[in-house]
Amino acid sequence: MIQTSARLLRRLLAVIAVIFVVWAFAKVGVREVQRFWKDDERTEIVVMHWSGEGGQEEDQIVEDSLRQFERENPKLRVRRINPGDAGSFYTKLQTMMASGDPPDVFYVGSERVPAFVSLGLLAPLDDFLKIDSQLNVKDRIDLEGFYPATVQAFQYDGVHSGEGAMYGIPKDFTTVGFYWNKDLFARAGLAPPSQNWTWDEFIADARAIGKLPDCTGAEFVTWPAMIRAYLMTEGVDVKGNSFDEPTTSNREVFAALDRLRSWRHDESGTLTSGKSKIASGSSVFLNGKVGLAGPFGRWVVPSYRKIPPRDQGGFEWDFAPLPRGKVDSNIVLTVSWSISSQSKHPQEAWSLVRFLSGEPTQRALARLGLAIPTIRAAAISESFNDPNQEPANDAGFLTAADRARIVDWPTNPQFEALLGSRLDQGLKTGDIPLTEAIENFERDWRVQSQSPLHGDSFLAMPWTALGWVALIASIASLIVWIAILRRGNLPAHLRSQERAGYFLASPWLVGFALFMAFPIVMSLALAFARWKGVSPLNSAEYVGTANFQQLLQFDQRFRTSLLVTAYYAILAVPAGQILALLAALLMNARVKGIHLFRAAWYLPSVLAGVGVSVLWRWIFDSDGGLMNAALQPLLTPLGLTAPEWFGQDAAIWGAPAFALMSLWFVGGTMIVFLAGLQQIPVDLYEAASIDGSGKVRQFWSITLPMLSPIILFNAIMAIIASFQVFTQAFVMTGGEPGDLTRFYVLYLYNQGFEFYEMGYASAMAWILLLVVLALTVIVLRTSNRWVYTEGQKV
Amino acid sequence: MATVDLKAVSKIYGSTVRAVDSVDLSIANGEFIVLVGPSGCGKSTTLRMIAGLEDLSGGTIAIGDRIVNDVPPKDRNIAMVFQNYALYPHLNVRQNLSFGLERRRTFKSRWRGIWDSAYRTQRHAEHIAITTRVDAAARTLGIEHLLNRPPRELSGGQRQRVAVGRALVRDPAVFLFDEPLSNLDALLRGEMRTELRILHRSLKATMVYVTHDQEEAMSLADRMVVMKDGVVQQIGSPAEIYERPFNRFVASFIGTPPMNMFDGHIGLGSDGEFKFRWGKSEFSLKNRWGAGELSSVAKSSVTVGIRPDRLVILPAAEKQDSSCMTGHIVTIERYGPLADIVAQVNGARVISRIATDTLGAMREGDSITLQFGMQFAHLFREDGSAITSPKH
Repeated sequence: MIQTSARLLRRLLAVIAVIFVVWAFAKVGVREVQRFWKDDERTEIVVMHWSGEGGQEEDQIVEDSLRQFERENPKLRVRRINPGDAGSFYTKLQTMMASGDPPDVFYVGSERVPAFVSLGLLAPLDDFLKIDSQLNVKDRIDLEGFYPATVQAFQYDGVHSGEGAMYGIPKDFTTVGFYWNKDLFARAGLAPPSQNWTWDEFIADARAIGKLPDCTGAEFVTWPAMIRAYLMTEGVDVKGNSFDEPTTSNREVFAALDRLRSWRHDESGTLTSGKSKIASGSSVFLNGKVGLAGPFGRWVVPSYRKIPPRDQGGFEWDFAPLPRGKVDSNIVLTVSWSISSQSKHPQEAWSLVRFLSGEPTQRALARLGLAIPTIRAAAISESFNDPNQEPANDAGFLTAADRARIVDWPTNPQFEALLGSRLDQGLKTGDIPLTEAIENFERDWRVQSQSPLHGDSFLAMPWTALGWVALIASIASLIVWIAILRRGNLPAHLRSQERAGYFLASPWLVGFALFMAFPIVMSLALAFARWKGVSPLNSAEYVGTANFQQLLQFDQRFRTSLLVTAYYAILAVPAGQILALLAALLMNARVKGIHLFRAAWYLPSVLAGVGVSVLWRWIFDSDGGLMNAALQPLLTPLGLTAPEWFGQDAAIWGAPAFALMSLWFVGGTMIVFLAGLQQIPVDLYEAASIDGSGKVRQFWSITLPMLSPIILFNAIMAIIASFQVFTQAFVMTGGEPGDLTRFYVLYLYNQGFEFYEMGYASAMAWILLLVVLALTVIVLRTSNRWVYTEGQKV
Repeated sequence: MATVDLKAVSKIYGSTVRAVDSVDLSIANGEFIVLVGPSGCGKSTTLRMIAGLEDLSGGTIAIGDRIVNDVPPKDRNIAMVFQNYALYPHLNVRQNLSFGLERRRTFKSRWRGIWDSAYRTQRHAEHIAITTRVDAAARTLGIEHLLNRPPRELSGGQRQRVAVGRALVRDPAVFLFDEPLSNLDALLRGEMRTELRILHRSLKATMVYVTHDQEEAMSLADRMVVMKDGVVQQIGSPAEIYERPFNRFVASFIGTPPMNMFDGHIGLGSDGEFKFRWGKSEFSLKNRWGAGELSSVAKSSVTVGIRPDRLVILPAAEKQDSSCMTGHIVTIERYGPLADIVAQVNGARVISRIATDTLGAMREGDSITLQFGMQFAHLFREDGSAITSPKH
């Protein structure tokens, strides 16, 4: 009875599984077929955008505009992709470009234009504009009506921004300035900032508010673009004639930067300390204890509008443009609609860009309060200047626009990344002197710009030849393998069993070949190539060993990341093993509810990932984090202060903080140890106790030797894992300050996915493999001295 | 050398399971005591309590003059040989043998010798002493050639010798053996039994030995302790226990093949004597028990037990009287000079052990006559206790 029902159940499950598989295939098949049929009539254009700060509303407005466009153009069909925020957008865009199937129309931030243009990703739009104006098309785009700086931001001639061809039609923009807390200004008896206030007035206001109890004068973010905006108000910049000759150590530049550093680090309460990783950026303003926050653009407005009114515990606020120094200046940050150079329907794409950049769409978006229309007429209209909504000073953004300039960047994205990361060490965390930070920046940038990988042109990667070699090699190895199998001379019934075995394993074997072996071989080939990762593989160039040469000979950051990782490994591996073993010994006790304790120890291993990393960022925060709150009472009697883990003390305490955090995940290792402990025969302990051993002696004489094969296994796994730290560092510090927490794999990620150096990153991956392999071999080689494998056999 | 005294020793698991129930046992100096009983009888637990591997739930254990209830195993001056040998797999034979001695060094520190030369000399002398003792023990057991081998390269018998050697080298007050031979094959077991006996004679040490094999117990013990369900059934020399079992359990547990048991009752015969009635037959008991003893169980159910070698089976026709019964042979098992005849008599299965050459022409299926040798019989009350015979 029970057997029949079990059999029935099994059959039922099998039928369900088969139905599910058939259904899944059918569904996908039908969808693909449908797409082909429908496409016969209408041309499909793919549009991709993000809606980070604008949220659902921005998403809806774009959707409505596209439906409107489809109504007006019945021969076109628009497919929309919205990956979410800007970060996800660029990741998605990169993969789509690399696969040779980019969207036709997409957002591009002006800061990316030089890099994208130099990679040949964007189509120039000048011809479209010219033809439109010759034909006098009804909705043609008149760039004269745009704010000039927003137009310049998408012009690039290969060297300079603001000149040359047009690569996008700006859809919105912002100027920057400081958001100020009206209530705190009133309490400090200060006059509101004027439309053309100065840095002296700014700092005087900040100091006054800093004197109020429990208040800070200003949050001054040191993002690279904002640093340049600040420098421009003093009539200087970080680039000389070109980006290859940075002017960061010029006297005037240094003086301006040092003034900023001094405001933060020589005074107390004037600027936020820069200690905290979490309490920084636009969110600091929300607590009502900070007088000014900036330089920010318009994008913070949606979140600031959620600040409740004064009678509900909130405060009133407004916007003031960037203060002036020697020069009254501002910057423009803008996003365009651009067209892919790979688009198969450029004409249709252009008509869509024309529609989306037009005044009606811009006005619709402006009502959100987030975007400032790039078309002057729309910007000064009531769509943007809504008197019923904060900030009152909408006009401040627009008056600043007339004196604003573009912030251009070189084609190599590392300039911006290095500038931000290095200067932050001097300006924000203050863990090294400003002069040293500037020197580091200039040195690291020089290494980058003089790399043999930049500038020179190389031969194309001989993919066809490599493909043949790979094909022949794999066929040859297959033949050899089959020959080896044949030689086994098995009787017929065993041979058929063997065939069945391989047949059953074949899904895995095919999967392994496609998804593991192929990418591994590809990465090996790419380690000898220059490939940007945003263009199809046939654009890869063969560079010989240049990647390895640059890495091993010149790249200081590579060395630093290896050292940081090794430092972490030296701490985390032994500490993790010891703690896991101690925990396993405890959890091996026969106590009531021991299963509960075991589960509790194991639980954190289940919770790994981004969420836990965010949690630990809070714990290690130098400004009120749990860790320091717990440590300080212990350290104060000794005359010590708790370290600023990811701030001033990051050189010593950055990697150890991650090692400490890694102890949170010892549960998995502990379970393996626990299983090992339970395998040790009890009579060995009894024999030892009769032979005269106490508990401690038994641990050294019985437990450790008997456990040694498991210790070996766990240690090797831990060593491998310790060289693969990524998520924690990526989420918690992003490698900052400087490169002090830039773990190897994080730097690999930076190179591959942020600087578009996929070949370089592949070379790094192979070096990592060699390092881990070497360490594993060393450990295995020494293991016959301390591992007693006999323990498993007797 | 030491005595071991157990007074009212109990081990209770949980709140109800009495694994060992109030055991009293005095072991004399140099005595070879064997605890024997079926599995679960509490013999191993008793041994482990002597070793200190189990706590007592009640009573006291003294080794020598010292009560050791709260003394950890390492301080009891005992050595134990385990069923699975419990050799340290990561150490070679020499290290296994010297492990206990190393733990008991006077000059323990490995480092002090670096600066303290006197200490170094003493430590070295101690090392020599340990080596000498290990060599001597190895020689005694014939395992000198194995000293540098790891345990996994040894045969079962060799491992057993190392396990014994590990106890021997320590020269303890008491040796404890927990079923040490049960993992060996029959031949090796017999051989080791003899050697243990010889070893005991030469060491004159106190030894406590646990086994479930009553033959092993009989062959080794000076005195044996028969246990069942945590309770001591009988303590005595092998001969005493074999000849005069206190109860039906001891009687049936000791001896191979087991004692034949006949459940019947005592009644008055027509001649005014007490007779044992089994089926339709009556057997006279007067040769063995007096009327006084028998009257106490008159008309009640009793069991008569007769060991197989005291039960005589004859071909059917030969002789018939009131102490005979007829039946037929089920099977005959021959063991060289001896043979067991299994016969069906009066609905019961009985076994008789006789010399093979007296079998004659008897075959399976033959009718036979069963002759009771009542002068060798044991008589048990309904509760299992033996009625002792004054005439024994």
